[in-house]
Amino acid sequence: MPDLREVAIISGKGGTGKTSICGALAVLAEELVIADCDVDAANLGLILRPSLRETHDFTASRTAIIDAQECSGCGRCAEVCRFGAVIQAADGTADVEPLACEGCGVCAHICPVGAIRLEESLSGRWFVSDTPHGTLVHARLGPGEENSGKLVTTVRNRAREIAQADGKGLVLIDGPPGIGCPVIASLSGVTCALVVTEPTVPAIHDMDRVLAVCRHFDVPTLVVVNRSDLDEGNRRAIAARCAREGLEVAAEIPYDPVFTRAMVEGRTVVEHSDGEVPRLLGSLWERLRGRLGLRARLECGGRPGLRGRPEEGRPGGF
Amino acid sequence: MILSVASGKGGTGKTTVAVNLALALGRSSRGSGVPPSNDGSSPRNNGHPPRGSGLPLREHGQPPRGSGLPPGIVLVDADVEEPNCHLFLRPRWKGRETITLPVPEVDLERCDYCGRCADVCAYSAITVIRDVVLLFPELCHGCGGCSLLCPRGAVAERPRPLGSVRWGRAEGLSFYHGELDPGQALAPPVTRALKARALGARGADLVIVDAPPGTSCPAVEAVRGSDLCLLVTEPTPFGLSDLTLAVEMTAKLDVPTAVVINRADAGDDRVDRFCGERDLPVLARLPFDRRVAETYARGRPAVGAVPGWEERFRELGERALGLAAASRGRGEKRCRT
Ligand code: SF4
Ligand code: SF4
Ligand code: SF4
Ligand code: SF4
Repeated sequence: MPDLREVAIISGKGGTGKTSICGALAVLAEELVIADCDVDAANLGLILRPSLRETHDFTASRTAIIDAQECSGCGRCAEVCRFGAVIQAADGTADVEPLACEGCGVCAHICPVGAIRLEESLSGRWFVSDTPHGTLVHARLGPGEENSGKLVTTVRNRAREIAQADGKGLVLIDGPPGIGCPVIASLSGVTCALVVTEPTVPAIHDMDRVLAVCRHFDVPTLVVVNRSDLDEGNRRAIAARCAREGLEVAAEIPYDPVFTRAMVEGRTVVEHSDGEVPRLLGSLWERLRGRLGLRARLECGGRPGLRGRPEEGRPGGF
Repeated sequence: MILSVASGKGGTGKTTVAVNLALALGRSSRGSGVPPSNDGSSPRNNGHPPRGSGLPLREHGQPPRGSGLPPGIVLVDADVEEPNCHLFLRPRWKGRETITLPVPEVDLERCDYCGRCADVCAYSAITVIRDVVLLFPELCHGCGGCSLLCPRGAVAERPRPLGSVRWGRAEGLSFYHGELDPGQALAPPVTRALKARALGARGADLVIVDAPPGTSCPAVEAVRGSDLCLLVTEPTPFGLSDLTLAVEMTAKLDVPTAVVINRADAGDDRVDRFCGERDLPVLARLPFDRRVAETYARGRPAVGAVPGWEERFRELGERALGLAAASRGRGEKRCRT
């Protein structure tokens, strides 16, 4: 088995700078495949200058459709639908509200005249693109669609396949905000998670919840504090919390408008300038690399040193 | 009247807008005697029996009857994966309810392993292999199909906890808060339960919903049925990209939409141009204010702490209510029935 590493960057709360940091790490890491698993708001492409290579349809969800000609208006479907997706008109004929329908199919099973069928609906698309830094697998979930977890899994699987085929040792995952199904799908089985937070009361609260998810799924975790100079008391609170839980604070990055400027330019911050922020991101990458390399040495007996030349025909490097 | 506050992308200031809007409107309805809305409309739940909570909504800050003031402002934190409003409001909690999903339990005395339940389940939450029935409750959506269709009546349901809904009061507002338990995947059932409780509250004249970020099912669940959705964005490429998706979502839901541009002085003018092209009203351009960022960092609302911001949010609120009332009139005319 090739010793492929997967690192998920998550934050709990949105807007902490997760995607900007992920983009920067992608540039620094060089030998990798990038998986944008924030399928609701896939933004990595805006700073990695991708050129599209493949487009695939994603049809995981189903929607009930009622044939008005067949429907006898008995109302059974509306009774059994637990998602309030069946609307009955005054004359009794039933209709389905597609955005409310979860595609469970119970109505179709119960309809006495067989007037209901379930149709696969296009719930999104996923893409493979080339970027100057590595292959990017990304996706776009249609607005209002379910199954974001499945789409995340699709993106991750494809990214892993490409990494193995191309002999890349790392898949970097830009995860979604929150703690629900797409986050769990982004985290499951990763080598480690990088939780990006900031020293504000809401971000700390959200970090606590996302750390609880990491614990729940037994994922090793590192913390990055972005905009670390926003509030000194809160910054210390994060450091203390991490120390108590034995979590490494892998970087503290002060507020810097350079992130926004780079984004407006359509670049990552490490390509945009070479000030304090890129330097800190550089040392974040070194620490992450060390961490991954150390684990590789302990677990797989592989060589330390991430940039070591992969052996012939075998993915690796760390 | 239901106002939802959403954004395609997290961290744009959605919670700041929802909390401060509720506070500013609450203060103006109690204090100045200027009603923030004069459309006199009744809430959507009017006439329905109050559901669930029995929260005494009118105990504090109740304006005199007949004054025409909107007495009941309810703030609903529907970002159940990462709820934050309570951090700013520090409410006095009045009650809590565990939200559960009905998941199957199989009585093996009755089951003959026919496999019908596994065929019915669209989420692979039940598998029958010869004489073993395997249940995967974390995959179950609680659709009830297996228990309804098992020919031997062998499937019963038990409640599986997913999260909780809490309610309380703060600063004269009623407050509802939903929370998904860490490790649970399914947010929408918690959001649905939360909204049912909050909209069913007595005297809920104006309901402000803080929706989760994004455009998939949790956000849809929160925004569905609002009279107006305020999309909070930033004037950056990320902000624009996510706003575009969020606008698609509200269009699909047929919810009238307006935009609030936060940190309006950073980034570029692409968001403004987009709003112009799409005829999206921009109801406020909120400048970056270091003092607001600092009060936010400490978990304090801007209204009441930073001079000038109460007026800003009151003005935003009045515009939003005016727009909601106007589009509601339109909506009723084109209503299906
Ligand atoms: S169960 Fe079938 S026949 Fe009865 S109302 Fe529904 S669609 Fe019509
Ligand atoms: S498929 Fe399920 S959710 Fe959709 S309408 Fe039928 S019963 Fe309701
Ligand atoms: S449908 Fe009922 S009887 Fe058949 S396998 Fe399932 S639980 Fe057993
Ligand atoms: S309730 Fe529905 S989703 Fe859950 S196991 Fe039964 S059929 Fe599957």
